[in-house]
Amino acid sequence: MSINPFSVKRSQILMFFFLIFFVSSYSWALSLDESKHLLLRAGFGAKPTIIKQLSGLNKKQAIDYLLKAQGSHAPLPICMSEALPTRKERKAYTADQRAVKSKKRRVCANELKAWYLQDLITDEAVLSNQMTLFWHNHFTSSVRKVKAPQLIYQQHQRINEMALGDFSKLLMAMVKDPAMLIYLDNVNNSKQKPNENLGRELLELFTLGEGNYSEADVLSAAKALTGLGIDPNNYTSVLRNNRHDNSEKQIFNDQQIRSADDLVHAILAQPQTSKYITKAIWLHFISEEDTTQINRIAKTFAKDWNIAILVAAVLSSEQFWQDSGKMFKSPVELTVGSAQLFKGLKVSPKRLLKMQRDMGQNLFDPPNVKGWPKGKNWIDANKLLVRSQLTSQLARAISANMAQMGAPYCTGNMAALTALDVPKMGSTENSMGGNCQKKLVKLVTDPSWQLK
Amino acid sequence: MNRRDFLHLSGASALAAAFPSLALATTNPPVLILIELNGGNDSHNTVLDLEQLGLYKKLRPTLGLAEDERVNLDKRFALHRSLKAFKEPWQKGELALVHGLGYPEANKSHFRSIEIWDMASAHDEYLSAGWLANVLPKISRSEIDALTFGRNALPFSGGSASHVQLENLSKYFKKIKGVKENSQTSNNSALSHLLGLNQNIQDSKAVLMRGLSKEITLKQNFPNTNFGKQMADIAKVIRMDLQVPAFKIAIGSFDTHKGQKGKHQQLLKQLADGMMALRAELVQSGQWSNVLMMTYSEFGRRAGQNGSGGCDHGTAATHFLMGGRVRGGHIGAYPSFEHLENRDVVYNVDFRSLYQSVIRSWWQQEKYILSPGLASLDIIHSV
Repeated sequence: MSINPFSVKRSQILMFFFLIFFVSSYSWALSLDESKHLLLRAGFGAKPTIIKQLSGLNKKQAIDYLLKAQGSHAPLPICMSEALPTRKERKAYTADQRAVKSKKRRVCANELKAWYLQDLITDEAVLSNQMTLFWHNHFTSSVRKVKAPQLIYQQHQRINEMALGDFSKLLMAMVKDPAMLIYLDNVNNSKQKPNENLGRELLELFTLGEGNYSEADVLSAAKALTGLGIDPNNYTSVLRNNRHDNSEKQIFNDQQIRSADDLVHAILAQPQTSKYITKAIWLHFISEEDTTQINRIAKTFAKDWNIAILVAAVLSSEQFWQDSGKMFKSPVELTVGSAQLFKGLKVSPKRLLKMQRDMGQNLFDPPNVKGWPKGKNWIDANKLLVRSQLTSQLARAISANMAQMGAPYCTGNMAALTALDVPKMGSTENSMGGNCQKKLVKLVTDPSWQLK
Repeated sequence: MNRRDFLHLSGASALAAAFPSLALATTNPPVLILIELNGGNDSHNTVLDLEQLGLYKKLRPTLGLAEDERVNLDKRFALHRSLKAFKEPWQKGELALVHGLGYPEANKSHFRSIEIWDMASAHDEYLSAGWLANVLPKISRSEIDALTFGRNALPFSGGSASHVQLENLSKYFKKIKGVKENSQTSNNSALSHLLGLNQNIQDSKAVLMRGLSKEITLKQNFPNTNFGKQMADIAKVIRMDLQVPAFKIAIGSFDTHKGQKGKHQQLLKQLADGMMALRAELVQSGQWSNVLMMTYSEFGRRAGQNGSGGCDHGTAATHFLMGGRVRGGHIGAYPSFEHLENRDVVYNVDFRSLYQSVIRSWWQQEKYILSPGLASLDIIHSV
């Protein structure tokens, strides 16, 4: 066997050029378009303060920067610190008292939503917030059913802390989360009378996906979760042994489980779980599925369940960087993004929340256990109309307050605002005159404003 | 030439303009109103087979309907008492009960199973268009083929049908006022999706504005529930003679895992009141013989009750067909409580044969086949 020295040399040269190309394309500083694309997807839009931070960074550094950004949160609404009633107190309520309490709860839930909305607008940890919302839409719970804003907040806090952390811990925390146990009826799941709601959704929506488990698996999962409920006085999760079915149950053909912990471990041992989660996160950031890439990333994910590494892998993929303008902004992205871009936009949180609701995204209150819509399901004719209302309102606000809202973009680069070039925008020169105002109005009312 | 131009030129349209009453009699396509019982209706507590009462009580010792919670329909069947009003159309032969509707290898996920029903697919088949998405354009004589009130427009989506989704008419009118034409085209699929929706809005605006100018006032009082108000809007659009062949409306949530009795009673009452008001309105306007209402749901529920005063996801269910030309009576056999599979009743009428029968006998689209080999159900008689 002989080696042709010439060919070795040629391949070395090729490798050299390839390396130069690869390293440099990866280490080059981001263009403005790239920063904008990254922030439209990994954040809520090209927030000016962050655009500034990203300038000069390359892709890897920019992704790292976003992954490591630390959040800062405004103080919580006062009602969140009020203790929930003990069982004795609840039992003693008169009908009138009950009505008053339920009214108070609704008010408190609205305060919590307004707080969260404000947090999303001001907080700089945009990627962490983006992933927190992703998990809210994955491990769904609704304040409407749970009826205790405090428990919904506790769940939010857990999710926020682990949004870019260890998935195996997040999953375990969610299975035992008090709001979740109420939302999916596990508080009623006992050995004597099983209720399979949580067991089923855990397999179908949270970990394996439809078609990757049997009806027998659902039954075993539900049994393993029996007795897992919440303390009626302090609302922490508890396991009641007298309600728990501790028998050995078979799941996924060959695994034996008894408890909720066993169940979570068995689920994590299924290769499908890492694929399902990776695919969900991939499709959160990229418009088209790529099975090869997803399987590749999932393999690594299954080893350490590190969500940050998974997200970094998705955001570093070639597919991500070539996908600009091909996804729909969610209602939260549309509203929060607009508020971030146009400082001085004076819309009450109540009104913004109503708009989000009308567009189909009610914070802490998804329509069902599958969560808010995704992809093109965000928009139908009716929703598009609500979005048009929102953008015309935005356009009016900008026109009325050009000095504060429009000026930064009249002197700077308007292309940083939107995912696509708007047709008939004319030349790129911007001036402070009526021309700039017209362009901004055109920009935010054009259909492409809905895209990211 | 697009469809709208064609309509303007076509003889039927010219005739319709000259002789509106003639047009009504000859050219109005039959109307289908799909009613989605969202969440999986417990049909065992909606329609009861009294011959199986013994087993029923055993399976549902506390959830089962007691004698005063049901009304007898005939010697063998009873309805939940919230559906008492259905006795009138039943006696007039305008109500059919289709028993045991379902499909093989039932899927118990809300989301997957409603998709199976809406796409008319097999349990392991993933289709991209709803079961009405490509047949409606053949029937429709309007620029807009279907209106969805409330959630889930899947039956109309993904094909060539032009449709819009709205909460109610007055909100919709308010919203569409300011919407402008956009003649842009794009090869970005996301953008072109938006532009397509914008075109549908324009079309629906033209059609509904035409209807609005007719200043229809309803003669019936519709119930003041969300469902009732949406049914009133559907009645209004039908009375506007806009030739829209299909509507969809949803009511729910029927996902009664817990504390079912009160909730189920309310929902069925809302359902019955809304359907009966629409019937009365269209009987009065002389259009009842041109309308068919059909209920459906992602699945029925488990034969036995669960431990929390409700029941879990199940399989086959009884559904209702109501309309002026419906062939009243029972279709299919009520599933047996004796022969359960995995604690569930077994389906005996494939829901797709019901759909196929609607396409065949309601819309006369003999050649439009959803899937080969579907049985033909005798659901409609001619006037």
